[in-house]
Amino acid sequence: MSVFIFSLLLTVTAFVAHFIVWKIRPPVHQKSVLIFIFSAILLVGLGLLSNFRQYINLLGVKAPQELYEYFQICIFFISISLAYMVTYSALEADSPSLVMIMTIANSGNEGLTQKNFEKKINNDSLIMPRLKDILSEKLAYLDGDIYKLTSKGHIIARIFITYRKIVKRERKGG
Amino acid sequence: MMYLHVFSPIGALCINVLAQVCYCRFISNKHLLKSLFFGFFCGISGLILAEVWYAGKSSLAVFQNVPLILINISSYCALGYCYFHFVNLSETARRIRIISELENAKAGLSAQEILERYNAQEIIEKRLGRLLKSNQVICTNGRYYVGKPFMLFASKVVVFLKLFILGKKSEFDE
Repeated sequence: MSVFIFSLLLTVTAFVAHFIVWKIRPPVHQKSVLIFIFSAILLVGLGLLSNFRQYINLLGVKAPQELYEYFQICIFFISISLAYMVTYSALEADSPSLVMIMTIANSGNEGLTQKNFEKKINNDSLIMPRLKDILSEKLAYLDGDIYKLTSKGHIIARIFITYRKIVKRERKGG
Repeated sequence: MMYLHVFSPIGALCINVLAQVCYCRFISNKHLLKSLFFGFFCGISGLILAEVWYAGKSSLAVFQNVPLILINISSYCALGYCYFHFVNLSETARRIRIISELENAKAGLSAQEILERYNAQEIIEKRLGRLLKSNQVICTNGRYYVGKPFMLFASKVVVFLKLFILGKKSEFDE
């Protein structure tokens, strides 16, 4: 029961800290700050629990006493944090499919013609922002007007290309 | 044995990944979503079997085992969700497609060259095609209308989450 209670407590604390910081002032480098907040809460939380475990008692539940319990808290916390961060990343960029649906829905009973559809959904809204992102995320850099991958970009591209080869997805993604 | 129990969500994730990859390689590489469900189901089956086995061997009472089982199942579900996102990124993410194109072009690419290889037209064809095929969007007399409401509902949920977490409805909002 102590693993359950303290895992939840640490996770909720991390989310509360995240929301407080975002409400005060959303940071510029949001993903980095998010990783920092979650890592800090985990390390500080585990440090406090393990150093003061003799004294900590939450509603009759003692702090975890054994090392394997701390591993279990770590695995739970890291799993939930990772799941939240991938969701957060997915929310940052507008999904083209969802933008398409909303654009069609906003046209109401008149419907949307192909021409008007392509006016609203084009390279400027779908591709150019992503080119800016790969520069800001240091996946690529500009050499004059040529986009080239950084080491980080090479590694990530290799991972996904290799994965697609393993699962035999011949058609390109995107 | 306690450490085996603690790391069982990670073991279950390995089963998930292996089963999903085997499905794609040996059964069908066309049904990616089915392969993901298959992998997830294999992983969680393995986890539940492991938990039942562990509970039988454990000296803890049933009510003491239940929170530990819940923690492990939650950790596995979160890890499975992260893997789903990884596969989804490889299939649909624009940034991943762009850096894959750059990886295949050793001398780099200009913005124009990137757009020749990957552009809004391709994105619209793929995604609108999927939406039309599943009747989420219908085309009548050259105009697009919302068909089945599921994707529209999903879009509104995503917009709500963006507003709640990021404080804006779209990446283009200030």
